[in-house]
Amino acid sequence: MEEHKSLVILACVASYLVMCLSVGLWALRRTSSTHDFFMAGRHLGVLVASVALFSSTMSGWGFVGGPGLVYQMGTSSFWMLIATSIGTMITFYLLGKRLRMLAELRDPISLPEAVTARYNSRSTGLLTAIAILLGVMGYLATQILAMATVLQSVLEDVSWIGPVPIEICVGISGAVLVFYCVTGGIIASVYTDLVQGIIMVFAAILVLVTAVGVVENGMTGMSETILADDPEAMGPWGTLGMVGCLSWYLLLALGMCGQPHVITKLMMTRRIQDARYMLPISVFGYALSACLWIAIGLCMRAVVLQGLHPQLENADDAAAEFLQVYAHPLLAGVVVAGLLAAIMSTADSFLNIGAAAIIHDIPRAVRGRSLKNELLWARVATVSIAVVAGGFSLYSGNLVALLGAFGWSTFAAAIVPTVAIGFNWKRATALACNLAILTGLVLNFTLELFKITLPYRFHGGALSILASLAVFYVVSLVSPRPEIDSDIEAVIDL
Amino acid sequence: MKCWIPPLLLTMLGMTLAAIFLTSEPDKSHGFAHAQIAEMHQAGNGTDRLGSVLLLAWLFGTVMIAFFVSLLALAILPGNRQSFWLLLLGTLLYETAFSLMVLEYRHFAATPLETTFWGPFPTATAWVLFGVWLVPYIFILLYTVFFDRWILPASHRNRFEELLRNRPPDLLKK
Repeated sequence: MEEHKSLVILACVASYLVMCLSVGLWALRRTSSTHDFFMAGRHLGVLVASVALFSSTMSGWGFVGGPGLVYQMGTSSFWMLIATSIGTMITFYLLGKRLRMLAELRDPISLPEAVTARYNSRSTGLLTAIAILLGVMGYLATQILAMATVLQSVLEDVSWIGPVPIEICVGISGAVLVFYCVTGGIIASVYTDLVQGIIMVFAAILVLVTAVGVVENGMTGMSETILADDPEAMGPWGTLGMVGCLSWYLLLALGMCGQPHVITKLMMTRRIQDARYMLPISVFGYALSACLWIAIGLCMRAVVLQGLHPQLENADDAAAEFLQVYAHPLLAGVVVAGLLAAIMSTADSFLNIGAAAIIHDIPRAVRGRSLKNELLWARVATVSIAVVAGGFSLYSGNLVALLGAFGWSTFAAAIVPTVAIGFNWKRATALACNLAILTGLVLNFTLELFKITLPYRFHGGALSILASLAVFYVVSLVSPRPEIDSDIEAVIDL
Repeated sequence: MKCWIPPLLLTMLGMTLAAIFLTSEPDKSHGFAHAQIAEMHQAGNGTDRLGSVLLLAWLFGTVMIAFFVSLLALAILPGNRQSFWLLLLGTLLYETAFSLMVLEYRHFAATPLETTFWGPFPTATAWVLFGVWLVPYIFILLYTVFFDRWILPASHRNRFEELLRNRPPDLLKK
């Protein structure tokens, strides 16, 4: 890459990292209790909460893996994008009001605590916290590794820096992440998410405009090129096929209301009625940032097929190659900063909910009371989780990829029945939740661990969520009608 | 919203999936490595790979959409005729967009090179983006416009305020 381009990218990335540190320092003064650290004092405005919600949904995977999937499979991964919209709608309809009401009524500082209150069951809260922790560790390790890989490629392109070991990059990027998460907790996290979300949307729109200019006849030219090579790749299902795409649609749409880093943000808003405006802002923000996914993927597939660009060694290089060859240096800088933003906005949410699970939910479920000086322990736990996840990302080999893939499905299978359905259905029982969580975890892990592929490449996570929901409904219906605290029952009735 | 509808639809979804799994899967129905380009997949003839499962997969998709909307309906206050009809209308449009896309795909798979374009995409693919993706945005519109009537009317807000006022002091420590 040309030297000046590398320097511009480095400057953008450095500015972005400095901004994250500044937000951390600013948020430090606003964080004086665990309530602030985990729930932002329930003072988030509509815009901040909406942008934080969509930016933590669009992880680094969406910026790197998404275009890579389009390059590899054609339009198949469009189903992931469109699923997120309906998934966000299901999330807001089911939880926008009720979860926020429960947050005000019982003042929980985490999702498992809200679950404990709903079912009056410490075991259900404990299992939810364990499922969250398992998903967080895998997800976080992949995010940290992705962050370090991006930083490494930025640094090695600058001639006077040269190659930097991945361990140092994990250290630098992890230190910035941990700094603002430890100092400002979720307040720093959501305000950096706000900036990160804005960067992502701008980057995506600029990439779309650039990509259209790369191929003759723009988007139509890309479609025609791909169609001429292999029509199915440009058809509605891409190369994966109809059943596989529908399984992605099911998993992503339904799984959305089981993602703890997303739904906990619904508990942090100032007023219950804020959900009304958060839904459109979140969905449109995500849809705009998804332009990057579609534009880079189709563009790179088309230019390689036309012979204008060498074949990619790895499909996930699609975004990096596009930026390197076709983007203006400033755009490349903004997109790389946007990529780091996408990764960090997801990672910071994971750090926060993971810390809550360790220092608050698990001790309360096991001992029946909270730790003393929770805020201090929350900060210690945040550092510890980041260190463990960082080490895990470097030294656990394939296990990171396994747990990363396991993350979304784990959350979905464990939390969708318990929270999304259970908070809207009085007949749901604690036993049904416990069995549904265990079913989801065991089935999901078995399918991933033994690499079992289902017919037509139906996604294992989608099967896990269906099985988990089935167990939840059946056990609830055959169990005795549960006794619910009167205030919780009133909230479900409202 | 009747609470038995989502489990009923979930059962139908499971049965349809079982039927799909029981069909004989054509070879390479999920694509194969591109003949010339590494890291890229191709899929070959659409009718050959998906023809046998198309009807069942369409059924799976339509039941799945009905299941999604039944979940949306769980959150809406019962006994409201307006919400029932508008949700039903939204569901029909959503199902229609999905079904038209599948129907268009049948033509596309049989004669892919004769396909027409809708904007920059083949018509069947355009149905995914402009139909299946955008039509459900109706539910965002409904949520935003009717929030005060279907989701959180003033009477419910008042009842919630009352709940907060009458909350026993030890409740927060529970």
